[in-house]
Amino acid sequence: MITLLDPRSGPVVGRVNRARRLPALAGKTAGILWNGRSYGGDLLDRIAALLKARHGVELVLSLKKAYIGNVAPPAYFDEFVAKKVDLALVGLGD
Amino acid sequence: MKPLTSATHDVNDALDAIEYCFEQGWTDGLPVVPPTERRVREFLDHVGLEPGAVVGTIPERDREVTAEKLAINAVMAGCRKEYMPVVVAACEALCDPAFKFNHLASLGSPWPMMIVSGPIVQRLGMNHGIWVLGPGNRANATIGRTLSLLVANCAEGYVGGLQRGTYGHPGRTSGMCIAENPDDFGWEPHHVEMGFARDVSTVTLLSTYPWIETPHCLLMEPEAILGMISLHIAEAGFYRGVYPILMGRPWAEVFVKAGWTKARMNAWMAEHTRQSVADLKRRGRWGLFVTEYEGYGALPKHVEPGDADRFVHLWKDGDDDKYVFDTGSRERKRGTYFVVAGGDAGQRTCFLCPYMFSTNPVTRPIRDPGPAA
Repeated sequence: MITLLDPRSGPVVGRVNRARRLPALAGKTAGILWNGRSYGGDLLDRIAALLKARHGVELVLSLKKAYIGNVAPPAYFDEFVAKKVDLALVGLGD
Repeated sequence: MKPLTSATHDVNDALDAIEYCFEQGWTDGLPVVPPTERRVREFLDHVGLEPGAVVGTIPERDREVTAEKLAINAVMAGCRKEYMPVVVAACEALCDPAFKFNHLASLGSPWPMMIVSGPIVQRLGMNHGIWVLGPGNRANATIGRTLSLLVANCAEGYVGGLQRGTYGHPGRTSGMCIAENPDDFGWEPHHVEMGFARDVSTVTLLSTYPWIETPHCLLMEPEAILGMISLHIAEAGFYRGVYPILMGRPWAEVFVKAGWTKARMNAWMAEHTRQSVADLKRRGRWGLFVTEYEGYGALPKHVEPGDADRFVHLWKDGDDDKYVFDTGSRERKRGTYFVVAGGDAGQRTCFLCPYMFSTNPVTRPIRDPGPAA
């Protein structure tokens, strides 16, 4: 008999620095930052629609990066702040 | 030592263990060494780490890499415990924020190359000569393979998980861990160039595409050798970042004997590696990274009069950089790392293009406790 050790590890929620989470979604506003990859906009729009239907989250801003390889410009973040967006929907890759 | 905390799985014998690992999806398609508690403890003992010690974090995946998980994957990869100091330093580099782990899932299929430099190369018997980029040496192959298994098993970096590369990378399993020739012939070793003492060993991680060979024929003068390498680099990718350039000792000696320093070699490359705007347009690179929000507007994509005499340098700042390199690339580390590695014959050197975006090379010292008991 041989006993093997499992090589996998999973998420360690709460121990690695992450963006601060909202305590509740009701009445909050959302903004989309689409990286421009194919179909990402459709996916983020769909998530925003579900957030509205289920939690009353209002989509107030939708921005698209012209090219995925570029860092989002400071003006984009300024817009999120100006519109008082509570939560941002973003994605990586395709 | 504190108890290990990984889940356990019982199997009948070693062959069943190998098959079990395949069935669980824990391998890279090749058999692995069964990770038993005794072997994993030996690996941890060698580097003096408790099982729960956090070697690195990967915030993008919400993961911590513990010494226990690192040792398990090193055992599976086929490492000896003496390799663990290198494995630990490589993991630290992988998790360094400057390396920007997330890009490894990219469509471009980058994979980190590891350059081990310093006294540990000789002690571990690492390959720095013929077939340096291929399999055959246990230390090179299994240290490299450990990172591959680790990324798959602890950060979802496998096909079907987060691995999205269009073509993949043939060097991922074992071929991307190399050593630098430790001979003292007047060459400034890589780890000294990185700012470490001569008696320290280091590992450098650079995220790269597969290698490209540059035949020099019989060119054996410094400018001629660099000129050939420069031409090949300019025509391959043209991504602003750090390019590792591997050359066997005979070519490195050309520079040593001629009194060239690495700083002079790097400066020569920066001055001469360039593309004309005409060629950049023909290759579809002109304006590729231009974005509306940066206000550069529509750019003509066809070759215009004067374009053949207007140049963009790969590493030297210029007014046209914004039309060729994305913002992240313009701000990251750039230049060349000349490393003495590879065979002594063949009239050729090779280089590797850096992954086109974001990532930076990271060098970490290896805390080597010396020979195993």
